[in-house]
Amino acid sequence: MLLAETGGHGYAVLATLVVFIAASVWLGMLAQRWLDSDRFLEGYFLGNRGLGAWAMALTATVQSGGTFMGFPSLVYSHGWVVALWIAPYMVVPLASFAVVGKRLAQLSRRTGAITVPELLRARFDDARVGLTASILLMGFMTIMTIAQFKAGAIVMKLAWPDSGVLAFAEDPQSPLDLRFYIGLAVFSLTVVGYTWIGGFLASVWTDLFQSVLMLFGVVALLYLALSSVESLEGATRIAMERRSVDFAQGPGHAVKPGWQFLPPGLSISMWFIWIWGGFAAPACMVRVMAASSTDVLRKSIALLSTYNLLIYPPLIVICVCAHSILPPLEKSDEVVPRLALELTKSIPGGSVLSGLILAAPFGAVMATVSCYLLVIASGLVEDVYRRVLRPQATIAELKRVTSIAIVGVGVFSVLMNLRPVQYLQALVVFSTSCGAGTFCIPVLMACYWRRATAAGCLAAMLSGAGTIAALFGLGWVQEWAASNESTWPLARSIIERIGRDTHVGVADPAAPYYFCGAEPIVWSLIVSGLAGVAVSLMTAPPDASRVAKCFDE
Amino acid sequence: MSNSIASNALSTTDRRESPLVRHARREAIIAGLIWLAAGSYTVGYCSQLGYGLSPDDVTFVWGMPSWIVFGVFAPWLVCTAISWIFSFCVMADDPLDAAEQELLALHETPLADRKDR
Repeated sequence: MLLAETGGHGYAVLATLVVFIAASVWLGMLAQRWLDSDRFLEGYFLGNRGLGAWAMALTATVQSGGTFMGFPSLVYSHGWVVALWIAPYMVVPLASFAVVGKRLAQLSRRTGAITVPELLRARFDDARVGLTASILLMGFMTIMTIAQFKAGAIVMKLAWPDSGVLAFAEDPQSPLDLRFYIGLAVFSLTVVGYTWIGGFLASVWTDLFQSVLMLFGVVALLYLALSSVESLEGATRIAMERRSVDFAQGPGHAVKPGWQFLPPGLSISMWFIWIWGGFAAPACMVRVMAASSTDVLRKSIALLSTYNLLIYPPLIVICVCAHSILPPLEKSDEVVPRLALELTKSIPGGSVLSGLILAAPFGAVMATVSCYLLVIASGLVEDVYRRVLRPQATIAELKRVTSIAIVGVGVFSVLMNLRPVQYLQALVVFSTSCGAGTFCIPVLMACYWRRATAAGCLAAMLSGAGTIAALFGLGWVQEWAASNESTWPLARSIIERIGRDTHVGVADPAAPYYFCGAEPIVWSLIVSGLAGVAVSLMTAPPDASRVAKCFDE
Repeated sequence: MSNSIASNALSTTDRRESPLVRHARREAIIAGLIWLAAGSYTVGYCSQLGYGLSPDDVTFVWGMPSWIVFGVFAPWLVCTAISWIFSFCVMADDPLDAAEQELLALHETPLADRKDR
């Protein structure tokens, strides 16, 4: 029986993970040699502003975590409509590099800023802007980092050969046993280790390494999958019979009765989430600031657009083919691992390829954590320690503080995972949205609007974050009310006022409140934009000499 | 107040905006228009032709639902081509400012000793 044959993954995955870890540590040590001791902070946190096109293209959007874990599961479950859900990625490269890329790189150089809060502080010449940005950014990133440490620990735990598990996605039901804590220790030591050793370059190079490997894996899997099916249409028709006719059309097959994965209104929201949330992501902005030249940004647009074309449409085709190759899966997360095992079992070296694909989520989580560690540490060192506590700090002192910051954030994340917070994933989704809603409009104002003021920037940041917080909070209250309607009069009252969950999007109890059927980021951008413009116009114009330094020749 | 206004007015007439800023603003607008066009076409096409179909209405091109081919994958190919054209024919190759030595002196000097930039 197929399921019995592919019930485990053997030692191939563990061996691949060991290779990943060894390669990452080696890259970290290699990166350390590139650090210029005379320009420590710029080298450690921005790679000496020498990021090349390949590294920029394949790491700036930090997309690898969700790409190879949750996305295939969505395609297998909901069908072809997921192509419409991910379609905005066709213009993500343009948005990520062309909208604010050159200006951020220029402003970063003109102000000497190595972090986003520092850039905003210098642009608007106001310490409150920098401090607010710093607090918000470090808050969001810390929550996401803690969650990624947990994800990495679970992946390590599930990689043991006799775990009987194929889906290396974060499983909230996975018990916290000894293997989890061993996995947490191994994962933490690895990621914190190579990040501490090599800084920004180590993070980028390991991310690049993992991205290239995944490209090879996807292309190989596409060839094998298409070779194994009679026809792609046949695979779709099998899926339509197993699931529903909605597998081949919008809004997609409903995994829960009454739920719509992607109604047309929500598909519009995705063009805001992926695009506006992408270029304003702090991790993306930091990489753009590290670009060595405009030529790198130009080439990155071309490279990343090609990479996205070679990754996403093929993944969709692969996961549709799975319906013709595999029996119905109980856990949709297992579609790529099971396909990898099934399609490679009779080819020479197949275990290496399958091990690579099964271990990919680990590499993705490592890359994500490394990036987050650096963003948080740079904020602590540059925006808090150097700017507020010790302006006289020497390079030697800053090196010590940087080490303490990197290791300290890692230790904090480990401690938070000894007894992980419930609903951590909900906080992650909330934090990711908040990050986008907070910085999108302020960064646009900083780059292109001379009349923008510090007060306007503050208003845009706080109103953007506040809107996201309000809509997510309302969604959680709505969920609580729906669950307690029969027992609590307050719950009934809430349902009467705000209505029930519209049951759209990914079925998640921590979903936000979809005001007028749109994702919170849409309203966040509108509110943030209005607040930023209105407050700027109502406050005194910025100092002309300061503006000239940021805009003029 | 009047000195500040005069200073601002003088700066306005004397200022010459960096070519990078002008080019970046133009390129951001172009990227925004491409985003708008791609989103409008994709969502418009798919919402009209990809929803409310009966099993017999689902047609296939190269094994894929036709609305996906013409509503998502075809524009994806077009956008990839546009991205290449934008990169090498539209986006200006502006220098990113600041000589190396100037930047080094700025950043590695203790903050208390730095000239404000």
